Amino acid sequence: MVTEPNRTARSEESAITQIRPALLSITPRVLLVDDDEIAVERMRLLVEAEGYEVATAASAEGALAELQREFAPIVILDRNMPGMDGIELCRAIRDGAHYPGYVYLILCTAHDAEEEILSGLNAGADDYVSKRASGTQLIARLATARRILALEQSLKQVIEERRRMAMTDALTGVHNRRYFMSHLRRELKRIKRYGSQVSLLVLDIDHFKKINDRYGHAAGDSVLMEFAKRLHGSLPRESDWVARLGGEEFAVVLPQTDLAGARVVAEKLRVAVHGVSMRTASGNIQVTVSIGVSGSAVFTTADEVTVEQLLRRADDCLYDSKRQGRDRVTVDGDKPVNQKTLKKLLYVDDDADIREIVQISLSLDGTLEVITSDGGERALLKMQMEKPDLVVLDVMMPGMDGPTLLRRMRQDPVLDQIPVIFMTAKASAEETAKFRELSAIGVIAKPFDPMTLGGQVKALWEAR
Amino acid sequence: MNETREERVAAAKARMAELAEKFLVRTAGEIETMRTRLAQANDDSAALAEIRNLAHRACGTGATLGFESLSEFAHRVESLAASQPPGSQAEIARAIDELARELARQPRAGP
Repeated sequence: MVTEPNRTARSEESAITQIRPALLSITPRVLLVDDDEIAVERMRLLVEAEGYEVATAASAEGALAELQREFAPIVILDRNMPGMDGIELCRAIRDGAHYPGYVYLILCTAHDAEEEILSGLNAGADDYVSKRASGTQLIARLATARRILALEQSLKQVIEERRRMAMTDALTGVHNRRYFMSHLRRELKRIKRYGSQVSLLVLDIDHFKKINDRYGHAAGDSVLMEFAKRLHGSLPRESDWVARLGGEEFAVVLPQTDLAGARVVAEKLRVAVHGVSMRTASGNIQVTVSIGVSGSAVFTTADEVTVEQLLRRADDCLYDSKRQGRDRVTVDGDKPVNQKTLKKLLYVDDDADIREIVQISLSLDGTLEVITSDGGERALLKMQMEKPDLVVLDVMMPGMDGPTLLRRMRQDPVLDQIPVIFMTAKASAEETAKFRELSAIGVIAKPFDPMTLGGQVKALWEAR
Repeated sequence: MNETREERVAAAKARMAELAEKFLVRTAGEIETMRTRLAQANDDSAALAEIRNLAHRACGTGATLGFESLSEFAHRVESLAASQPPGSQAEIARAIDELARELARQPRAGP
Protein backbone atom coordinates (compact mmCIF):
# COMPACT_ATOMS: atom_id res chain seq x y z
CA MET A 1 0.00 0.00 0.00
CA VAL A 2 2.88 2.39 0.67
CA THR A 3 4.05 3.43 -2.79
CA GLU A 4 7.07 5.45 -3.75
CA PRO A 5 6.28 9.20 -3.82
CA ASN A 6 8.27 9.61 -7.04
CA ARG A 7 5.74 7.51 -8.92
CA THR A 8 4.09 10.81 -9.74
CA ALA A 9 6.88 11.40 -12.27
CA ARG A 10 5.05 8.90 -14.50
CA SER A 11 2.21 11.32 -15.07
CA GLU A 12 4.03 13.20 -17.84
CA GLU A 13 1.55 14.10 -20.57
CA SER A 14 3.80 12.60 -23.24
CA ALA A 15 3.60 9.18 -21.59
CA ILE A 16 -0.15 8.91 -21.99
CA THR A 17 -0.27 7.73 -25.60
CA GLN A 18 2.96 5.81 -25.39
CA ILE A 19 2.45 2.07 -25.60
CA ARG A 20 4.18 0.29 -22.77
CA PRO A 21 6.58 -2.23 -24.36
CA ALA A 22 5.65 -5.03 -21.97
CA LEU A 23 2.07 -4.91 -23.27
CA LEU A 24 3.18 -5.39 -26.88
CA SER A 25 4.58 -8.83 -26.13
CA ILE A 26 1.18 -10.16 -25.07
CA THR A 27 -0.46 -12.39 -27.69
CA PRO A 28 -4.21 -12.03 -27.15
CA ARG A 29 -6.80 -14.73 -27.67
CA VAL A 30 -8.18 -14.70 -31.21
CA LEU A 31 -11.69 -15.85 -32.12
CA LEU A 32 -12.13 -17.10 -35.70
CA VAL A 33 -15.66 -17.08 -37.08
CA ASP A 34 -16.47 -18.83 -40.36
CA ASP A 35 -19.15 -21.32 -41.35
CA ASP A 36 -16.65 -23.17 -43.53
CA GLU A 37 -14.64 -25.49 -41.33
CA ILE A 38 -11.87 -25.67 -43.92
CA ALA A 39 -11.48 -21.88 -43.94
CA VAL A 40 -11.47 -21.83 -40.13
CA GLU A 41 -8.90 -24.58 -40.00
CA ARG A 42 -6.58 -22.76 -42.42
CA MET A 43 -6.73 -19.57 -40.35
CA ARG A 44 -6.23 -21.49 -37.14
CA LEU A 45 -3.00 -22.96 -38.54
CA LEU A 46 -1.70 -19.54 -39.55
CA VAL A 47 -2.65 -17.79 -36.35
CA GLU A 48 -1.58 -20.55 -33.96
CA ALA A 49 1.81 -20.74 -35.69
CA GLU A 50 2.33 -17.15 -34.54
CA GLY A 51 1.74 -18.18 -30.94
CA TYR A 52 -1.80 -16.86 -30.51
CA GLU A 53 -4.36 -18.78 -28.54
CA VAL A 54 -7.22 -19.55 -30.92
CA ALA A 55 -10.93 -20.15 -30.43
CA THR A 56 -13.35 -20.87 -33.25
CA ALA A 57 -17.05 -20.49 -33.97
CA ALA A 58 -19.01 -21.79 -36.97
CA SER A 59 -21.65 -19.03 -36.89
CA ALA A 60 -22.19 -15.46 -35.71
CA GLU A 61 -24.51 -16.73 -32.96
CA GLY A 62 -21.83 -19.18 -31.85
CA ALA A 63 -19.29 -16.33 -31.82
CA LEU A 64 -21.43 -14.21 -29.48
CA ALA A 65 -21.87 -17.17 -27.14
CA GLU A 66 -18.12 -17.88 -27.19
CA LEU A 67 -17.30 -14.23 -26.37
CA GLN A 68 -19.60 -14.46 -23.34
CA ARG A 69 -18.05 -17.73 -22.25
CA GLU A 70 -14.47 -16.53 -22.59
CA PHE A 71 -13.50 -13.12 -23.87
CA ALA A 72 -11.27 -12.73 -26.95
CA PRO A 73 -10.08 -9.21 -27.79
CA ILE A 74 -9.52 -10.02 -31.46
CA VAL A 75 -12.25 -11.49 -33.69
CA ILE A 76 -11.67 -12.41 -37.33
CA LEU A 77 -15.03 -12.97 -38.96
CA ASP A 78 -16.32 -14.08 -42.31
CA ARG A 79 -18.68 -11.66 -44.03
CA ASN A 80 -21.01 -14.23 -45.59
CA MET A 81 -22.52 -16.70 -43.22
CA PRO A 82 -25.93 -18.36 -43.17
CA GLY A 83 -28.18 -16.95 -40.43
CA MET A 84 -26.64 -13.86 -38.89
CA ASP A 85 -23.91 -12.63 -41.24
CA GLY A 86 -20.58 -10.93 -40.48
CA ILE A 87 -22.00 -7.42 -40.82
CA GLU A 88 -24.72 -8.15 -38.27
CA LEU A 89 -22.13 -9.74 -35.98
CA CYS A 90 -20.02 -6.55 -36.12
CA ARG A 91 -23.05 -4.51 -35.08
CA ALA A 92 -24.04 -6.97 -32.36
CA ILE A 93 -20.58 -6.85 -30.82
CA ARG A 94 -20.42 -3.04 -31.00
CA ASP A 95 -23.89 -2.42 -29.53
CA GLY A 96 -24.25 -5.46 -27.37
CA ALA A 97 -23.00 -6.82 -24.10
CA HIS A 98 -20.33 -5.18 -21.97
CA TYR A 99 -17.06 -6.91 -22.67
CA PRO A 100 -14.04 -6.61 -20.39
CA GLY A 101 -12.22 -4.66 -23.10
CA TYR A 102 -12.32 -3.44 -26.67
CA VAL A 103 -13.02 -6.07 -29.34
CA TYR A 104 -10.87 -5.56 -32.42
CA LEU A 105 -12.85 -6.80 -35.44
CA ILE A 106 -11.24 -7.95 -38.67
CA LEU A 107 -13.74 -8.71 -41.41
CA CYS A 108 -12.94 -11.32 -44.06
CA THR A 109 -14.38 -10.70 -47.51
CA ALA A 110 -14.40 -13.04 -50.49
CA HIS A 111 -14.63 -10.50 -53.29
CA ASP A 112 -12.88 -7.31 -52.15
CA ALA A 113 -15.86 -5.41 -53.53
CA GLU A 114 -15.96 -1.78 -52.40
CA GLU A 115 -19.47 -1.99 -50.99
CA GLU A 116 -18.63 -5.14 -48.99
CA ILE A 117 -15.67 -3.42 -47.40
CA LEU A 118 -17.58 -0.21 -46.72
CA SER A 119 -20.60 -1.94 -45.19
CA GLY A 120 -18.25 -3.88 -42.92
CA LEU A 121 -16.30 -0.84 -41.74
CA ASN A 122 -19.52 1.11 -41.25
CA ALA A 123 -20.94 -1.73 -39.15
CA GLY A 124 -18.00 -1.41 -36.74
CA ALA A 125 -15.18 -3.51 -38.19
CA ASP A 126 -11.71 -2.09 -37.49
CA ASP A 127 -10.06 -3.66 -40.50
CA TYR A 128 -10.75 -6.04 -43.32
CA VAL A 129 -8.76 -8.75 -45.00
CA SER A 130 -9.42 -10.38 -48.33
CA LYS A 131 -9.80 -14.13 -48.45
CA ARG A 132 -7.25 -13.91 -51.24
CA ALA A 133 -4.71 -12.26 -48.98
CA SER A 134 -1.58 -14.17 -48.03
CA GLY A 135 -1.08 -15.59 -44.57
CA THR A 136 1.68 -13.03 -44.08
CA GLN A 137 -0.80 -10.21 -44.63
CA LEU A 138 -3.23 -11.72 -42.15
CA ILE A 139 -0.48 -11.95 -39.52
CA ALA A 140 0.55 -8.34 -40.22
CA ARG A 141 -3.04 -7.22 -39.65
CA LEU A 142 -3.09 -9.19 -36.39
CA ALA A 143 0.02 -7.28 -35.32
CA THR A 144 -1.88 -4.04 -35.97
CA ALA A 145 -4.68 -5.32 -33.77
CA ARG A 146 -2.17 -6.13 -31.07
CA ARG A 147 -0.70 -2.64 -31.23
CA ILE A 148 -4.13 -1.05 -30.81
CA LEU A 149 -4.99 -3.38 -27.94
CA ALA A 150 -1.63 -2.65 -26.28
CA LEU A 151 -2.44 1.05 -26.56
CA GLU A 152 -5.82 0.41 -24.96
CA GLN A 153 -4.14 -1.50 -22.10
CA SER A 154 -1.54 1.28 -21.68
CA LEU A 155 -4.29 3.87 -21.36
CA LYS A 156 -6.13 1.69 -18.86
CA GLN A 157 -2.97 1.43 -16.77
CA VAL A 158 -2.47 5.20 -16.87
CA ILE A 159 -6.06 5.74 -15.73
CA GLU A 160 -5.61 3.21 -12.93
CA GLU A 161 -2.36 4.86 -11.80
CA ARG A 162 -3.95 8.32 -11.85
CA ARG A 163 -6.92 7.06 -9.91
CA ARG A 164 -4.56 5.61 -7.33
CA MET A 165 -2.56 8.83 -7.16
CA ALA A 166 -5.71 10.89 -6.61
CA MET A 167 -6.36 8.68 -3.56
CA THR A 168 -2.79 8.74 -2.25
CA ASP A 169 -0.98 11.20 -0.03
CA ALA A 170 2.00 12.36 -2.08
CA LEU A 171 4.39 12.75 0.86
CA THR A 172 3.80 9.57 2.82
CA GLY A 173 2.36 7.25 0.17
CA VAL A 174 -0.55 6.21 2.41
CA HIS A 175 -4.15 6.91 1.43
CA ASN A 176 -5.34 10.50 1.58
CA ARG A 177 -8.38 12.06 3.20
CA ARG A 178 -10.52 11.60 0.09
CA TYR A 179 -9.82 7.87 0.07
CA PHE A 180 -10.46 7.74 3.81
CA MET A 181 -13.90 9.35 3.53
CA SER A 182 -15.10 7.26 0.59
CA HIS A 183 -13.69 3.93 1.75
CA LEU A 184 -14.74 4.23 5.37
CA ARG A 185 -18.23 5.03 4.06
CA ARG A 186 -18.06 1.84 1.98
CA GLU A 187 -16.85 -0.08 5.04
CA LEU A 188 -19.84 1.20 7.04
CA LYS A 189 -22.22 0.02 4.30
CA ARG A 190 -20.63 -3.38 4.57
CA ILE A 191 -21.14 -3.61 8.32
CA LYS A 192 -24.79 -2.65 7.85
CA ARG A 193 -25.21 -5.47 5.35
CA TYR A 194 -23.24 -8.17 7.14
CA GLY A 195 -23.54 -7.04 10.77
CA SER A 196 -19.80 -6.99 11.38
CA GLN A 197 -17.78 -4.28 13.15
CA VAL A 198 -15.21 -1.68 12.26
CA SER A 199 -12.92 0.33 14.50
CA LEU A 200 -11.26 3.67 13.82
CA LEU A 201 -8.04 5.04 15.28
CA VAL A 202 -7.21 8.74 14.97
CA LEU A 203 -3.55 9.46 15.63
CA ASP A 204 -1.81 12.79 16.10
CA ILE A 205 1.95 13.21 16.44
CA ASP A 206 2.66 15.02 19.73
CA HIS A 207 4.20 18.50 19.52
CA PHE A 208 4.75 18.19 15.78
CA LYS A 209 4.93 21.94 15.35
CA LYS A 210 7.86 22.05 17.73
CA ILE A 211 9.65 19.45 15.58
CA ASN A 212 9.11 21.62 12.50
CA ASP A 213 10.24 24.75 14.33
CA ARG A 214 13.30 23.19 15.85
CA TYR A 215 14.57 20.88 13.09
CA GLY A 216 13.03 22.44 9.96
CA HIS A 217 10.31 21.29 7.61
CA ALA A 218 12.50 18.76 5.81
CA ALA A 219 13.00 16.93 9.10
CA GLY A 220 9.27 17.28 9.79
CA ASP A 221 8.54 15.62 6.44
CA SER A 222 10.96 12.80 7.23
CA VAL A 223 9.18 12.24 10.54
CA LEU A 224 5.81 12.10 8.75
CA MET A 225 7.12 9.57 6.23
CA GLU A 226 8.74 7.39 8.89
CA PHE A 227 5.62 7.66 11.04
CA ALA A 228 3.38 6.49 8.17
CA LYS A 229 5.78 3.65 7.44
CA ARG A 230 5.75 2.46 11.04
CA LEU A 231 1.97 2.57 11.20
CA HIS A 232 1.69 0.62 7.99
CA GLY A 233 4.34 -1.87 9.07
CA SER A 234 2.74 -2.48 12.47
CA LEU A 235 -0.77 -3.30 11.26
CA PRO A 236 -1.60 -6.94 11.82
CA ARG A 237 -3.81 -7.66 8.83
CA GLU A 238 -3.95 -7.06 5.09
CA SER A 239 -7.42 -5.51 5.40
CA ASP A 240 -6.27 -2.80 7.88
CA TRP A 241 -5.36 0.49 6.27
CA VAL A 242 -3.79 3.87 6.98
CA ALA A 243 -4.75 7.34 5.75
CA ARG A 244 -3.28 10.77 6.35
CA LEU A 245 -6.13 13.07 7.30
CA GLY A 246 -4.01 16.21 7.06
CA GLY A 247 -1.01 17.78 8.79
CA GLU A 248 0.26 15.38 11.44
CA GLU A 249 -3.10 13.64 11.85
CA PHE A 250 -3.53 10.08 10.59
CA ALA A 251 -6.31 7.48 10.70
CA VAL A 252 -6.18 3.71 10.86
CA VAL A 253 -9.23 1.68 9.89
CA LEU A 254 -9.55 -1.82 11.31
CA PRO A 255 -12.35 -3.80 9.64
CA GLN A 256 -13.96 -6.61 11.64
CA THR A 257 -12.33 -5.43 14.86
CA ASP A 258 -14.06 -4.59 18.15
CA LEU A 259 -12.88 -1.90 20.57
CA ALA A 260 -10.85 -4.37 22.66
CA GLY A 261 -8.98 -5.48 19.54
CA ALA A 262 -8.56 -1.88 18.42
CA ARG A 263 -7.07 -0.95 21.79
CA VAL A 264 -4.42 -3.66 21.40
CA VAL A 265 -3.53 -2.38 17.92
CA ALA A 266 -3.47 1.26 19.11
CA GLU A 267 -1.15 0.38 22.00
CA LYS A 268 1.13 -1.49 19.58
CA LEU A 269 1.26 1.53 17.27
CA ARG A 270 1.96 3.88 20.17
CA VAL A 271 4.90 1.73 21.28
CA ALA A 272 6.16 1.37 17.69
CA VAL A 273 6.40 5.17 17.51
CA HIS A 274 7.64 5.81 21.03
CA GLY A 275 10.11 2.92 21.16
CA VAL A 276 12.65 3.94 18.52
CA SER A 277 13.59 7.53 17.68
CA MET A 278 13.24 8.63 14.09
CA ARG A 279 16.32 9.12 11.95
CA THR A 280 16.31 12.35 9.93
CA ALA A 281 18.97 14.42 8.17
CA SER A 282 18.85 16.76 11.18
CA GLY A 283 19.56 13.95 13.61
CA ASN A 284 17.46 11.43 15.52
CA ILE A 285 14.16 12.76 16.81
CA GLN A 286 12.16 11.20 19.61
CA VAL A 287 8.50 11.24 18.68
CA THR A 288 5.35 10.22 20.55
CA VAL A 289 1.78 9.88 19.39
CA SER A 290 -1.61 10.41 21.00
CA ILE A 291 -4.38 8.11 19.85
CA GLY A 292 -8.18 8.16 20.03
CA VAL A 293 -10.14 4.98 19.35
CA SER A 294 -13.78 4.61 18.45
CA GLY A 295 -15.77 2.03 16.56
CA SER A 296 -19.14 0.91 15.30
CA ALA A 297 -19.53 -1.01 18.59
CA VAL A 298 -20.31 2.19 20.55
CA PHE A 299 -23.49 2.75 18.50
CA THR A 300 -26.65 0.86 19.39
CA THR A 301 -27.57 0.17 15.77
CA ALA A 302 -25.49 0.06 12.60
CA ASP A 303 -27.81 2.64 11.02
CA GLU A 304 -26.58 5.33 13.40
CA VAL A 305 -22.95 4.96 12.38
CA THR A 306 -21.71 7.60 9.97
CA VAL A 307 -18.18 8.52 8.98
CA GLU A 308 -18.62 11.94 10.55
CA GLN A 309 -19.93 10.51 13.85
CA LEU A 310 -17.17 7.95 14.06
CA LEU A 311 -14.52 10.53 13.26
CA ARG A 312 -15.90 12.97 15.82
CA ARG A 313 -15.94 10.38 18.58
CA ALA A 314 -12.42 9.13 17.80
CA ASP A 315 -11.31 12.78 17.70
CA ASP A 316 -12.83 13.41 21.14
CA CYS A 317 -10.88 10.43 22.47
CA LEU A 318 -7.74 11.78 20.82
CA TYR A 319 -8.20 15.10 22.66
CA ASP A 320 -8.63 13.20 25.89
CA SER A 321 -5.28 11.53 25.23
CA LYS A 322 -3.72 14.93 24.57
CA ARG A 323 -5.23 16.42 27.71
CA GLN A 324 -4.14 13.57 29.90
CA GLY A 325 -0.50 14.08 28.96
CA ARG A 326 -0.08 12.73 25.40
CA ASP A 327 1.72 9.52 24.31
CA ARG A 328 -1.35 7.50 25.24
CA VAL A 329 -4.42 5.72 23.95
CA THR A 330 -8.02 6.64 24.84
CA VAL A 331 -10.77 4.25 23.82
CA ASP A 332 -14.35 5.44 23.30
CA GLY A 333 -16.65 4.27 26.10
CA ASP A 334 -13.87 4.07 28.68
CA LYS A 335 -14.98 5.42 32.05
CA PRO A 336 -12.70 8.40 32.65
CA VAL A 337 -10.44 7.54 35.57
CA ASN A 338 -10.91 10.64 37.66
CA GLN A 339 -9.57 9.65 41.01
CA LYS A 340 -8.79 13.29 41.54
CA THR A 341 -11.61 15.21 43.21
CA LEU A 342 -12.24 18.85 42.47
CA LYS A 343 -11.02 20.87 45.43
CA LYS A 344 -9.65 24.15 44.16
CA LEU A 345 -11.07 26.25 41.33
CA LEU A 346 -9.80 29.49 39.84
CA TYR A 347 -12.34 31.80 38.21
CA VAL A 348 -10.97 34.48 35.85
CA ASP A 349 -13.15 37.45 34.87
CA ASP A 350 -12.53 41.19 34.48
CA ASP A 351 -15.96 41.99 35.94
CA ALA A 352 -15.70 42.11 39.75
CA ASP A 353 -19.48 41.74 40.27
CA ILE A 354 -19.63 38.50 38.31
CA ARG A 355 -16.49 37.21 40.07
CA GLU A 356 -18.34 37.64 43.35
CA ILE A 357 -21.54 35.96 42.13
CA VAL A 358 -19.58 33.00 40.77
CA GLN A 359 -17.59 32.69 43.98
CA ILE A 360 -20.78 32.62 46.05
CA SER A 361 -22.56 30.19 43.70
CA LEU A 362 -19.71 27.68 43.60
CA SER A 363 -19.15 27.82 47.35
CA LEU A 364 -22.78 26.87 48.12
CA ASP A 365 -22.12 23.20 48.96
CA GLY A 366 -18.99 24.02 50.96
CA THR A 367 -16.65 21.42 49.39
CA LEU A 368 -14.92 23.70 46.88
CA GLU A 369 -12.29 26.35 47.43
CA VAL A 370 -12.91 29.14 44.91
CA ILE A 371 -10.23 31.72 44.12
CA THR A 372 -10.50 34.46 41.51
CA SER A 373 -8.40 36.65 39.25
CA ASP A 374 -9.21 39.63 37.01
CA GLY A 375 -7.14 38.22 34.12
CA GLY A 376 -3.95 38.91 32.16
CA GLU A 377 -0.49 37.94 33.39
CA ARG A 378 -1.80 38.15 36.97
CA ALA A 379 -4.08 35.18 36.25
CA LEU A 380 -1.19 33.06 34.95
CA LEU A 381 0.89 33.99 38.00
CA LYS A 382 -1.94 33.02 40.32
CA MET A 383 -2.33 29.66 38.59
CA GLN A 384 1.39 28.97 39.03
CA MET A 385 1.19 29.81 42.71
CA GLU A 386 -2.12 28.24 43.60
CA LYS A 387 -2.10 25.23 41.24
CA PRO A 388 -5.91 24.97 40.97
CA ASP A 389 -7.53 21.68 39.85
CA LEU A 390 -9.74 23.54 37.42
CA VAL A 391 -9.73 26.96 35.75
CA VAL A 392 -12.91 28.68 34.54
CA LEU A 393 -12.20 31.48 32.06
CA ASP A 394 -14.41 34.28 30.89
CA VAL A 395 -14.05 34.51 27.09
CA MET A 396 -14.39 38.29 26.61
CA MET A 397 -11.77 40.12 28.59
CA PRO A 398 -9.76 43.26 27.79
CA GLY A 399 -6.05 42.69 27.14
CA MET A 400 -5.77 38.94 27.15
CA ASP A 401 -9.02 37.15 26.29
CA GLY A 402 -9.95 33.66 27.48
CA PRO A 403 -8.68 31.67 24.46
CA THR A 404 -5.35 33.54 24.57
CA LEU A 405 -4.99 32.74 28.26
CA LEU A 406 -5.66 29.08 27.55
CA ARG A 407 -3.03 29.02 24.78
CA ARG A 408 -0.53 30.57 27.18
CA MET A 409 -1.38 27.89 29.77
CA ARG A 410 -0.76 25.12 27.24
CA GLN A 411 2.71 26.51 26.54
CA ASP A 412 3.59 26.42 30.21
CA PRO A 413 4.79 23.01 31.47
CA VAL A 414 3.23 23.61 34.91
CA LEU A 415 -0.18 24.77 33.67
CA ASP A 416 -0.35 22.55 30.59
CA GLN A 417 -2.46 19.84 32.22
CA ILE A 418 -5.01 21.97 34.10
CA PRO A 419 -8.51 21.47 32.67
CA VAL A 420 -10.29 24.62 31.50
CA ILE A 421 -13.97 25.58 31.18
CA PHE A 422 -15.07 28.67 29.23
CA MET A 423 -17.90 31.00 30.19
CA THR A 424 -19.37 32.90 27.27
CA ALA A 425 -22.39 34.92 26.28
CA LYS A 426 -22.07 33.64 22.69
CA ALA A 427 -22.19 29.87 23.18
CA SER A 428 -22.86 28.89 19.55
CA ALA A 429 -22.10 25.38 18.31
CA GLU A 430 -19.14 26.62 16.26
CA GLU A 431 -17.71 28.54 19.20
CA THR A 432 -18.06 25.46 21.39
CA ALA A 433 -16.32 23.30 18.80
CA LYS A 434 -13.54 25.87 18.51
CA PHE A 435 -13.05 25.91 22.26
CA ARG A 436 -12.97 22.15 22.44
CA GLU A 437 -10.31 22.21 19.80
CA LEU A 438 -8.30 24.46 22.11
CA SER A 439 -8.64 21.58 24.62
CA ALA A 440 -11.35 23.17 26.81
CA ILE A 441 -13.38 20.46 28.57
CA GLY A 442 -16.61 22.45 28.29
CA VAL A 443 -18.46 25.69 27.83
CA ILE A 444 -20.99 27.30 30.17
CA ALA A 445 -23.41 29.88 28.75
CA LYS A 446 -23.87 33.34 30.23
CA PRO A 447 -26.08 34.45 31.84
CA PHE A 448 -25.94 31.44 34.18
CA ASP A 449 -28.24 30.36 36.96
CA PRO A 450 -26.29 30.87 40.24
CA MET A 451 -28.20 28.00 41.90
CA THR A 452 -27.17 25.38 39.35
CA LEU A 453 -23.73 26.67 38.30
CA GLY A 454 -21.97 24.38 40.78
CA GLY A 455 -23.74 21.35 39.33
CA GLN A 456 -22.80 22.33 35.77
CA VAL A 457 -19.13 22.73 36.68
CA LYS A 458 -19.09 19.38 38.53
CA ALA A 459 -20.72 17.58 35.58
CA LEU A 460 -18.10 18.93 33.16
CA TRP A 461 -15.33 18.00 35.61
CA GLU A 462 -16.62 14.43 35.90
CA ALA A 463 -17.00 14.02 32.17
CA ARG A 464 -13.63 15.51 31.22
CA MET B 1 4.60 -24.26 -26.41
CA ASN B 2 7.83 -26.25 -26.48
CA GLU B 3 8.31 -26.56 -30.24
CA THR B 4 10.19 -23.88 -32.13
CA ARG B 5 8.62 -21.50 -34.57
CA GLU B 6 10.17 -23.40 -37.51
CA GLU B 7 8.64 -26.64 -36.30
CA ARG B 8 5.28 -25.00 -35.93
CA VAL B 9 5.46 -23.51 -39.43
CA ALA B 10 6.43 -26.87 -40.94
CA ALA B 11 3.56 -28.60 -39.17
CA ALA B 12 1.18 -25.90 -40.32
CA LYS B 13 2.29 -26.29 -43.95
CA ALA B 14 1.70 -30.03 -43.88
CA ARG B 15 -1.72 -29.55 -42.39
CA MET B 16 -2.45 -26.85 -44.98
CA ALA B 17 -1.78 -29.35 -47.80
CA GLU B 18 -4.28 -31.74 -46.21
CA LEU B 19 -6.82 -28.96 -46.05
CA ALA B 20 -6.35 -28.16 -49.73
CA GLU B 21 -6.97 -31.80 -50.60
CA LYS B 22 -10.06 -31.87 -48.40
CA PHE B 23 -11.32 -28.72 -50.11
CA LEU B 24 -10.95 -30.19 -53.59
CA VAL B 25 -12.82 -33.36 -52.62
CA ARG B 26 -15.59 -31.35 -51.01
CA THR B 27 -15.91 -29.00 -53.98
CA ALA B 28 -16.26 -31.98 -56.36
CA GLY B 29 -19.22 -33.16 -54.30
CA GLU B 30 -20.69 -29.68 -54.19
CA ILE B 31 -20.52 -29.28 -57.97
CA GLU B 32 -22.76 -32.37 -58.21
CA THR B 33 -25.14 -30.79 -55.68
CA MET B 34 -25.21 -27.56 -57.75
CA ARG B 35 -26.12 -29.54 -60.88
CA THR B 36 -28.94 -31.39 -59.12
CA ARG B 37 -30.33 -28.19 -57.57
CA LEU B 38 -30.12 -26.33 -60.90
CA ALA B 39 -32.47 -28.93 -62.43
CA GLN B 40 -35.01 -28.10 -59.67
CA ALA B 41 -34.53 -24.34 -59.89
CA ASN B 42 -37.74 -23.73 -61.84
CA ASP B 43 -40.02 -25.14 -59.08
CA ASP B 44 -37.85 -24.36 -56.04
CA SER B 45 -36.69 -20.81 -55.33
CA ALA B 46 -34.41 -22.05 -52.53
CA ALA B 47 -32.44 -24.09 -55.06
CA LEU B 48 -30.85 -21.04 -56.67
CA ALA B 49 -29.94 -19.61 -53.24
CA GLU B 50 -28.23 -22.86 -52.33
CA ILE B 51 -26.18 -22.79 -55.54
CA ARG B 52 -25.18 -19.23 -54.78
CA ASN B 53 -24.09 -20.10 -51.22
CA LEU B 54 -22.09 -23.16 -52.29
CA ALA B 55 -20.38 -21.17 -55.03
CA HIS B 56 -19.64 -18.33 -52.66
CA ARG B 57 -18.01 -20.67 -50.20
CA ALA B 58 -15.91 -22.33 -52.90
CA CYS B 59 -14.90 -18.88 -54.11
CA GLY B 60 -13.82 -17.59 -50.69
CA THR B 61 -12.19 -20.70 -49.27
CA GLY B 62 -10.61 -21.53 -52.64
CA ALA B 63 -8.98 -18.10 -52.63
CA THR B 64 -7.60 -18.50 -49.12
CA LEU B 65 -6.06 -21.84 -50.05
CA GLY B 66 -4.42 -20.41 -53.16
CA PHE B 67 -6.77 -21.87 -55.84
CA GLU B 68 -7.09 -18.52 -57.56
CA SER B 69 -8.53 -19.49 -60.97
CA LEU B 70 -10.88 -21.99 -59.34
CA SER B 71 -12.06 -19.21 -57.07
CA GLU B 72 -12.80 -17.02 -60.09
CA PHE B 73 -14.86 -19.74 -61.81
CA ALA B 74 -16.81 -20.21 -58.60
CA HIS B 75 -17.36 -16.46 -58.44
CA ARG B 76 -18.84 -16.60 -61.95
CA VAL B 77 -21.38 -19.21 -60.80
CA GLU B 78 -22.15 -17.16 -57.69
CA SER B 79 -22.70 -13.96 -59.69
CA LEU B 80 -25.06 -15.62 -62.16
CA ALA B 81 -27.09 -17.22 -59.37
CA ALA B 82 -27.20 -13.99 -57.37
CA SER B 83 -27.95 -11.45 -60.11
CA GLN B 84 -31.43 -9.98 -60.54
CA PRO B 85 -32.89 -11.43 -62.65
CA PRO B 86 -30.70 -14.54 -62.38
CA GLY B 87 -28.84 -15.87 -65.38
CA SER B 88 -30.54 -18.49 -67.52
CA GLN B 89 -30.36 -22.13 -66.53
CA ALA B 90 -28.16 -22.80 -69.56
CA GLU B 91 -25.75 -20.02 -68.59
CA ILE B 92 -25.46 -21.26 -65.01
CA ALA B 93 -25.05 -24.87 -66.16
CA ARG B 94 -22.21 -23.77 -68.45
CA ALA B 95 -20.50 -21.89 -65.60
CA ILE B 96 -20.77 -24.95 -63.33
CA ASP B 97 -19.26 -27.11 -66.09
CA GLU B 98 -16.36 -24.69 -66.42
CA LEU B 99 -15.86 -24.81 -62.65
CA ALA B 100 -15.84 -28.63 -62.80
CA ARG B 101 -13.24 -28.57 -65.60
CA GLU B 102 -11.06 -26.19 -63.61
CA LEU B 103 -11.35 -28.46 -60.59
CA ALA B 104 -10.23 -31.44 -62.67
CA ARG B 105 -7.13 -29.46 -63.71
CA GLN B 106 -5.95 -29.05 -60.10
CA PRO B 107 -2.89 -31.12 -59.19
CA ARG B 108 -3.90 -33.71 -56.63
CA ALA B 109 -1.68 -35.06 -53.91
CA GLY B 110 -3.27 -38.43 -54.44
CA PRO B 111 -2.41 -41.63 -52.66
